Amino acid sequence: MPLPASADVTSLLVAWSEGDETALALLVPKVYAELHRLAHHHMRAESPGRTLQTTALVNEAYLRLVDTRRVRWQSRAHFLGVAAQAMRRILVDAARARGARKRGGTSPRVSLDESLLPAPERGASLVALDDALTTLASVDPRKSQVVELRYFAGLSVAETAAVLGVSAETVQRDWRVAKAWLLREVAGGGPPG
Amino acid sequence: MTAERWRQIERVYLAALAVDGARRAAMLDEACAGDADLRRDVDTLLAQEPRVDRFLESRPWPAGPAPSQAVAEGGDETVLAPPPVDGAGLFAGRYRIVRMLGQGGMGVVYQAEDVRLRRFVALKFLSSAIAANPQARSRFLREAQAAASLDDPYVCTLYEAGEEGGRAYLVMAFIDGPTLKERIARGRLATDETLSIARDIASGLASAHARGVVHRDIKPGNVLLAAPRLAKITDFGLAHVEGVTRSTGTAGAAGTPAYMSPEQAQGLPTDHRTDIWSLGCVIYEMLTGRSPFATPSGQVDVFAIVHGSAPALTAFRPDVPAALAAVVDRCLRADLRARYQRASDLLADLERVGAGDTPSAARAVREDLPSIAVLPFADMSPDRTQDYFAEGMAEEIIHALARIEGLRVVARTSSFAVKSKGLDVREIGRVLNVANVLEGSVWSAGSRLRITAQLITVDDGFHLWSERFDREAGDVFAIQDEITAAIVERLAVALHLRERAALRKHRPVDPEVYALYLKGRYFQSRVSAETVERAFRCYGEAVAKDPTFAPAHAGIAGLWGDLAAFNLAPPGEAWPKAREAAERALALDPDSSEAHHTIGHIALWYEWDWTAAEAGIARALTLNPGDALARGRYGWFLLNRRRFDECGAAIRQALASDPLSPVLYGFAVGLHAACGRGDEALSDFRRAVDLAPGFGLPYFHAAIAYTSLGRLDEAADVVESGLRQGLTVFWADCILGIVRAKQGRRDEAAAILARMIEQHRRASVSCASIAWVAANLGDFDMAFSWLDRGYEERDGLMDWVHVYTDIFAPALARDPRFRAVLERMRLTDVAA
Repeated sequence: MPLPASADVTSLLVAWSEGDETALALLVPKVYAELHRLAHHHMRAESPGRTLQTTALVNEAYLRLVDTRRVRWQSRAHFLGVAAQAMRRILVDAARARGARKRGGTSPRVSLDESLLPAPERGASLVALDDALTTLASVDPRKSQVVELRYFAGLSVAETAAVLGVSAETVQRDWRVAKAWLLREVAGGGPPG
Repeated sequence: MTAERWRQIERVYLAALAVDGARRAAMLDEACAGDADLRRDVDTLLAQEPRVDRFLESRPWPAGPAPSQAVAEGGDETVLAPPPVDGAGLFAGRYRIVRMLGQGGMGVVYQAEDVRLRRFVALKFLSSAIAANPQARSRFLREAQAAASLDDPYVCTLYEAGEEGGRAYLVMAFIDGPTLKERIARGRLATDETLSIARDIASGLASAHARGVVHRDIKPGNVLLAAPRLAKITDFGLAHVEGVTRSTGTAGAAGTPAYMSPEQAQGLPTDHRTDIWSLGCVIYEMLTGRSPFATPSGQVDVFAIVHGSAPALTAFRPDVPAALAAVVDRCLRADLRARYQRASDLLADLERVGAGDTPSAARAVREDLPSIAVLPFADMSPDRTQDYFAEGMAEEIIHALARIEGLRVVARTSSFAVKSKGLDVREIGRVLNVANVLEGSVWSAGSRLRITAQLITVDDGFHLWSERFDREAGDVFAIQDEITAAIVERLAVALHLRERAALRKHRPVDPEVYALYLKGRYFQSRVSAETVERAFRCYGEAVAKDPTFAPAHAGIAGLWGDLAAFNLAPPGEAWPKAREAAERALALDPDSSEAHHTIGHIALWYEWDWTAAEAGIARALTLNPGDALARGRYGWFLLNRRRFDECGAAIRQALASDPLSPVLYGFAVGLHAACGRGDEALSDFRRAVDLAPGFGLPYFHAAIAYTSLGRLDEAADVVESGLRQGLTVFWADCILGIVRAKQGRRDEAAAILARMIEQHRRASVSCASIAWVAANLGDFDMAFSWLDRGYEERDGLMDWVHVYTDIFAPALARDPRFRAVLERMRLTDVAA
């Protein structure tokens, strides 16, 4: 039985970890919205000298969104997977927004989203990175997931291995190969994939 | 580019990375011969080498300055400014500042001299926000009053609280010693040192809680060591004061909320039990040097906090007594109701651990006790027909020694397993983790009996004692007694009076009956259809000759229990027979630990009487603390009660006394998997396979571990290999059906389901496993009807239907109808 779009994050998470792939499509936007809200909140509220920690953001979103009494500990891995996707979209959307404004888009002022980005050139390369990651996912989905988890959700090699259910060595190797491949793509130094 | 082509590129790229210089070019020439595109692809990837290491290694966020450069939390300019003093250099008219002691989350602390009372004090200044906000100020004073009411040797006394020049301050006893945090930074603490400090903190908390004062920020930095083993809690009640409260769970908070309880992390109401959680974290950190919830990257693992899943303490510190690990586990329960309910209960258990006693449920694996492995005696009889007797001698001695609390004895399976390995004494000591070994030989001809025995220290091979007995066959008990007495004496084991009495408690028995009994044991320990039958025959002949010989009745009871539990006989027939024999044994000998074990086994597996199950197994363990199998069974009881941490402790302890037992490793895989400790389950699985690759049970449980970790392909693979190793097809079907349904391979799952139902008519296929497969195919009506049948047919898996349904079919567990299943099973008290 498909879950309604209004289902809460906990139910969706449970459904997804039980193998219901449609739940994932409903989960990502909800997690996206919460992470987005939290990121802005902390960017504004944090006193100088604080560093925005991706993992701390993800932890907080988990506490806010998930009823921990209803899920098993294993849901953590599933949640991290969703959060990594959501973080990627938040950052890439922000970078695209900046790009659109520079090309004469409608928004005259710097959006909050863009304040998440460190420097304009980084924004441009994030969009390129995102495109390259999508291409990579079509031939090697796991490598693209490794990059999402390591780079966008800030997970360590061991944590990434736990989420994906593979060995740390595999993550290390995937990470290395994926970086070389992405670097070549974003630098435009090689043949099209 | 296709995925296949990409894999080829990746393979060549990785191979090229592994070689360098000229060899790389040669290798590429060969690998890419005739494929210029491949060569170009790999070359362009290799060309990224100089930049790869740094690429994507910084956060995609703007990085601020490192947290260490941040201002102290809650800190602002006024807190850091020197205290305002009068013309005489005194603060508040009576305190002369001596030096700054430190600054931290709560403000700045100075050592000062109280010139009126002529004593040193600690003077602490809090955030100026408190003085500025009337509400916060009155709250601060109220908390300070409550804290000042505490008069306890383990609480740092609060003398005074006040405001001066817009600065809120506290005056406390000056403790001339480091904080526990500083002590831990110098290196982790020994067990006894940890216990001593933990008892002090628990005692201080107990007295504060009794006055209604909760600390809410117990952590090593808030514990002062007045002497190496005298701890005092400081900063009582401050965590609750508005404006001082550390923000919890916020991204980027500079302080690490590593000690906060799940209820704190989730912003739920807290009570005194939050302190019990935090003290659990502190004990853990004293022992391991690391916070239980810190990740390798220095973050706090909030997931682990809210689910109460700290990594096993013993993983970082294997020498910690299991009893102490169990105490920490019980502090770190995410479910408030499962935690210690009072600091005084925690204190009592810490004191028991210190005294070497059993805390609440788990008994300690004592590394400091004298330890021994009794090897099977060698059969030296002319025709080599006395193997059963040679093993029986050793087993009887193990049995007698295992009842002694002050001695650690390796159980039968492991002691006997080393026999065939041809190890020397030193290696045996290492494998079984013991300091002493007893070995001996048996020679018998007609009624004449010769037995030799040597007690050897494994370190140096020194013979502590050796003896030769030339006797009549009827003297066998006297010889066993003499051997055990010699061991107890030479190893300087302290005996309780009742143990001394039990050691000599042998009733006279006909040597022939006894020989039959030992033969029964011999066959019982080699479980196969054929040996079971021979064991029954031997025990049966023994009780026919002497109906009053309790051990033989207990043996029969145990055999029926094994047959029923492994589905080798119809449960409805086998269990009542087990009960009948066990009751007969107990009527003859109320202290038969084996019969009590069987009674507990029946109550747990068949009668579903949880109280009787615990009583029976616990009684068996009291009578025979070294009975590893009974302790393993106790683990299954604890799983039924969802006491997951104690369950882990029980199976670890069982393995400590029987470290080479495949059955216990099978139990360990099953218990850890069901408790959600998939990684532990899988590492025990590897060990189980090493010990006995042909033993099917662990494969089933390993598949559960993979399933609960979401690694479905591997779950299917492991049951496939289990099938090749003797795993019964019914168990394999249970996993495969669930996995295929979860993978969306519904046709395959439906075929498996049909097969299970079809076979259920002929064989003992578990009804519960049929229900789980049906549930994964979405047919809840069918699932519930099979759970009903499981109840009717007394399906053995129904014992843990609440635990396994959560793993296999959580949606089924959430269906309102599941409640009725739990009610019938009398499991509502432990439902999630």
